[in-house]
Amino acid sequence: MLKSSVSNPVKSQAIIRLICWITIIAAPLVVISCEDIMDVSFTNDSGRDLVVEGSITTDVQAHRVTLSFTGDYFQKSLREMATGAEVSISDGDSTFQLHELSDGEYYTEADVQGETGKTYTLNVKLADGKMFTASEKMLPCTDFDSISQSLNHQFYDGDYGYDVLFYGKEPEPLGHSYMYLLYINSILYTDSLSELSFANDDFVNGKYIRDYIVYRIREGDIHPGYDWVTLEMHSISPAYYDYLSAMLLETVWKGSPWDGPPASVNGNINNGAKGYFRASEVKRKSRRFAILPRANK
Amino acid sequence: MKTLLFIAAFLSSCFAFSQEKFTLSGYVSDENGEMLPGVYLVILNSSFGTATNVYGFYSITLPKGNYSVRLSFIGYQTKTIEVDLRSPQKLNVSLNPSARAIDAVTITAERKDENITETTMSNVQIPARIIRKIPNLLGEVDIIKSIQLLPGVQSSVEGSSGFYVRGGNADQNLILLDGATVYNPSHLFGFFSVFNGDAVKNIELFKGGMPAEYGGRLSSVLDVRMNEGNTQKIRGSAGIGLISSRMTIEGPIIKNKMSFILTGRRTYADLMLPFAKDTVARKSKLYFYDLNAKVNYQINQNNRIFLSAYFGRDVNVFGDIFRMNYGNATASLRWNHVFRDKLFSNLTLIFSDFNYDLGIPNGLMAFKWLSHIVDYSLRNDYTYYLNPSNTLKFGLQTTYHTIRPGSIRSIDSTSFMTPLKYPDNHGIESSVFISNEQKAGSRLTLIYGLRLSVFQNIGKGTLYNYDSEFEVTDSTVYKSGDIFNTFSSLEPRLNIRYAINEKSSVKASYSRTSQYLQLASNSTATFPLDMWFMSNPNVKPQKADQVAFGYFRNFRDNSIEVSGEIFYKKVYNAIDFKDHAVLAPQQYLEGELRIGNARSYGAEFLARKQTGKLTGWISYAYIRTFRKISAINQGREFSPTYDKPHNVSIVVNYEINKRFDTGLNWVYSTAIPVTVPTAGYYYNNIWVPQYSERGGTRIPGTAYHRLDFSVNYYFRTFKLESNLNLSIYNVYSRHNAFAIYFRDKNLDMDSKGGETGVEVIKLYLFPIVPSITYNIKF
Repeated sequence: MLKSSVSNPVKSQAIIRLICWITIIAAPLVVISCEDIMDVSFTNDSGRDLVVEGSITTDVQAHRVTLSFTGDYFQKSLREMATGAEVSISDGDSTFQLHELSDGEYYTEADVQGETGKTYTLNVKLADGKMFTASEKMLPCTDFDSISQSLNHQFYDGDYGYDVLFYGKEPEPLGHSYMYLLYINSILYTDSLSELSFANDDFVNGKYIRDYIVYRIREGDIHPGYDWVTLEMHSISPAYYDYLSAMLLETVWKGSPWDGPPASVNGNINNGAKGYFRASEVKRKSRRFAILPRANK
Repeated sequence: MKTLLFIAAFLSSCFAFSQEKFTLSGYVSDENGEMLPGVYLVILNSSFGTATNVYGFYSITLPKGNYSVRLSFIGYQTKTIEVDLRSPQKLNVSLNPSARAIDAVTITAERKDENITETTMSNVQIPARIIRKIPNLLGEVDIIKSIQLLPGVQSSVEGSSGFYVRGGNADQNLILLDGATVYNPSHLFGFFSVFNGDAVKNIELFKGGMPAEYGGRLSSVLDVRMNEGNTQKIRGSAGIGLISSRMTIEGPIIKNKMSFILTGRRTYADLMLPFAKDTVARKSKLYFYDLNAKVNYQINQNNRIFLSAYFGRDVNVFGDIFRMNYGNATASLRWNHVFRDKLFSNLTLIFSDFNYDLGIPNGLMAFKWLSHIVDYSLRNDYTYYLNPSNTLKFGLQTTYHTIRPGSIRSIDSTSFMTPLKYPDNHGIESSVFISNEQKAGSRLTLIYGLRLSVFQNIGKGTLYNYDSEFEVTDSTVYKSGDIFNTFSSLEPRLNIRYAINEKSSVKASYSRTSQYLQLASNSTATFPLDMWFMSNPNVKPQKADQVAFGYFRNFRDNSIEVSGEIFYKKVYNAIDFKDHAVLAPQQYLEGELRIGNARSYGAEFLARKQTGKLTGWISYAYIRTFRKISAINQGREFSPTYDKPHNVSIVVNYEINKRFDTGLNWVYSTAIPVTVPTAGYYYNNIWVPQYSERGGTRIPGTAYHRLDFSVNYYFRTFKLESNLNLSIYNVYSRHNAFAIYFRDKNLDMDSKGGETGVEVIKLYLFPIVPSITYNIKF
């Protein structure tokens, strides 16, 4: 039971959201909280660090690892890709070479499939000879039952849309973490970390989860009656769960009066590189969304 | 060796008299029977003198003879009483308040030199009547915001009731209300403090040179005393402000013997909510209230009993989405007994509780989270007025702490939230102390003392074991009553005063303090969900050493006090938190801690004028504070966000005439340190900042300064004393930074799409805020 990670953000994600709610609702009532955009400029001239974004899953496909470099935070230029690197993924027994198909994007062969329980090691050798490595164990992901859709109703922000609801049993023991991806007709709908849904089982261990709103689709983004919606559930390590939480704290969730001190987010790549290399078992369910009228509220 | 010296000094002081002597003792109160602490009694034409203690009691032993005793207290008329001391004598005195200054020209001759004659340093007393005149935010008289105007006390962010004393953290302040610890001094996310200005009689703040009778926190003691109630007649007062209303009723239960006081306050910011358009807003609640009550029974000259209680709560309900409530409750039952005129004893039973609950009231995600800290405490202390040269204080206190870090209850049968409970923690914190105030000759006075504090973890409890990576490896469960860990600390305390002449003195102090309970908080704004945790084998007690030196001088017949102090403080086992720590809810909190050292140093100057038409103070402090914690900022020293080196406050009150007075504050502090990103990168299509150094940059133009102004108009409504207070907070509406952060323009959904780059955002809270309050006494 105590084998789970020390860092146990339990409901923190939900609580932080609730705090946002408090600030949003309470602030205008109590105080006049305002923002000024300051007229100051900064430039960064510090060196380039490698940024890795990669994964291997139980799907049979060409698995991708993207390599880029850090830049000036304040200029937010196009990202500089790391080209000409030697990249491989090893599971201890066999090693898969990755090929650079476009600048900084490296792919395995299309027949590679990850295996649950194995530990995968990413090795990167940059064109200038610098070496980096990262390891991640692929944890199991229990299958879920189904997804369904809600009525077309109004969200808190006033827009109309559908909830994607989740049904499935969260297995014992405690210590599972999950990441969800949503596709509409095979096109990734949740294509940014700012939209990503992820969870762990700290408060729901062993429970049957039903009617859980895992994502929301805006009315204009889907053609009900035609479009297929697919939900993927990926097993992730508790370390990756913490990584995602910290990334959001530094970006999307930034700006509440109760922010902790800012700090760099460190992933599992060694030698000072940024980013993360994850390994996930994937389960998925699809459903064609039905045409439903707007619900009155 | 230290102990031996102490005993020698104590013994030498005991055998230093021979003549026939008698004790003069009693209580000093105001005209309504409210006991007055800190009243100076001077035996004219001698070097003898004393002051009343916090309960208004004094005792002085003198050779047989005739004496003129002069009693003086700021804001009250000086009284001189002739005493023919031939036997032990009880003398209770009541002082009359000086009339409003306009017709007070006749009483300017009183002596007000406690600044230079008192041996303790780094401490300030502010009577509530002064605090009530300071211009304030939204008309709420706020004790904590008024002490933030003193040199050496810093605020964290705009409008917050967290305070930082000489570079110490906000949780290093011992906040006592009639002897009971107040764990969370804030209401409404920290914008207001729990102390209702109408219920408070007096506050005293110790920033250093901590007397031996106080302990348990590293940096300061804020000792708040509640009014006791009028023993003469039933009186009341009420106030209507912009955001709250207050009411007080007090009076005798048995005339001259037993009195009560009851004070209540409630905010009504939410009373408009039921008329809101939005359904969520309509079903929402947002208010706080508090109640203070005290009963005081003077059984006879030698026995007094006090019962005081506080209860306050913040209620925040956001429709069916979310609710959160929190509050403090304290109670203390005190018995003061005088043994043979010279020995004053105080026996107090104390209860203190802080708890919060939050949750979602119904539906699939319904849950209720509860967290709690409860103290039961017994204190017994004595003051022994041995002879005019020696006053001994000794006593003991023991407290049983229970912390319930959290539990979850599923409150809706359809909810899929699993009920859970983190193990409770129990601890016993005990201390014994002894100190002596010794007048060694006419110029030198010493207060030397020793405090032994002991902290024990006691079952039923669960202790987690961690590896070097701060991961839990296993746990040990202890049975109820098992003492599984003991810490102890010997804390020497020393204050020295040397009078250079009648107008000036130099003082020095040293104190060691220990702290066994701390707050899990890593943000600068006060947050109600921060919870306390206790020392255990994984969390060594924090300790601090502080030395301070000061020079005190009075001018213009003591009407102007000027002082300067320098200090250096070192904190061992200073607690901080790892980057992106999750502090609540958190079962394995100790894994989120990172331990190191901290240090601060500074210089403080204060010029204060307490009499006449124009009163107030000017203060300047230069304070630096640093922490060095491995695993934070790559192990390099850094400044916490409240490190603001330069601090100025000007507090002025001017009585124009009998009907009007006006107040003005101006505060200034250096810009907060900001952590500026040194690089950025894309990960999963968001732009992520990277940092190399925590703090480090102070953005030009973000220094904090603010002017507040108030006018009081005194008049009668239907023959009742009334006043109208107009306050303007932030007169020139400066946008003072509450937080400074960096935002990717594309992440903000409201911004015009497609724009790239990063903005520097300054979040500020209060532009100009005028308010009006109407007060009436009946």
